[in-house]
Amino acid sequence: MVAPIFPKSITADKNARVLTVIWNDEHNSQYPFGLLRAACPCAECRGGHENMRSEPDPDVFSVRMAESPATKIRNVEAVGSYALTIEWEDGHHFGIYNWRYLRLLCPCPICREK
Amino acid sequence: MIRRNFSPLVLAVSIGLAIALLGAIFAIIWSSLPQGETQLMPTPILTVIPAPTATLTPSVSPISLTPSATSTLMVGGTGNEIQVGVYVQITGTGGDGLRLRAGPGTENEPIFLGREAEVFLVKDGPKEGSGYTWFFLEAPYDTTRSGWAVANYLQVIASNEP
Repeated sequence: MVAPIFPKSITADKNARVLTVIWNDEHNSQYPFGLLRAACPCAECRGGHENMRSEPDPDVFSVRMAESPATKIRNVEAVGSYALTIEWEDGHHFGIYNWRYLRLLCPCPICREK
Repeated sequence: MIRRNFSPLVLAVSIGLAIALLGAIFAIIWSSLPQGETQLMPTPILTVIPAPTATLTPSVSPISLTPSATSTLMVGGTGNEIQVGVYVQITGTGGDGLRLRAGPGTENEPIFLGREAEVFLVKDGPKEGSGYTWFFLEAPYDTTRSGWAVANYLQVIASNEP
């Protein structure tokens, strides 16, 4: 049986433009805001419901996003106890990042080698 | 009409057996559930650190306008010149993104959808096609992510480093 992975704390630093997640297994994930926006899992950002997947698109790790309202976080809210939703400065707020998706999106070298 | 009388003892034993049977069924179902799924996940602590507020200092320096005899291609509505070697970002698509095509014209096949605010390096252009000005763009960390894009939705970014 695999123990469930969930965040202990989530910090969105608008100054550094990095979202930090400390997980219950003590792993520390640092997500640049641009990566989170590029990986927004909503149907609109993925180009339709048929393109929605439970895992991040590998392309998002090579995408570079400039500083703009589309990559600035206005607010972060928990969705129940299973996911996170982000409201962006351009008004976009449809993406629901569940814990599994968010963990798979961790850009650290250890996670990327898995 | 046939009427049967049950003794209170038989009735009590029957009810007891029914309760025991229901309890056993419930216990079997409960124990068969994976423990991980029944475990409640706590809600994480959420913190949003605000960005520092920018203080604007008004400039009082006079502006002098000098007519220029040379013309420069100004696209994107920002006053910055798009040319080979500069970095641009996709902007003004309202979140829809911008199609990057196989050639400089709308008759060419779209290769992929560039994301709003995505950064590219300008590798070729400008070229005219289908009534638009086009530039060939390449993602800085993925050379396979490249194609021709309409200049109207491109904006030069200040730094050469994305």
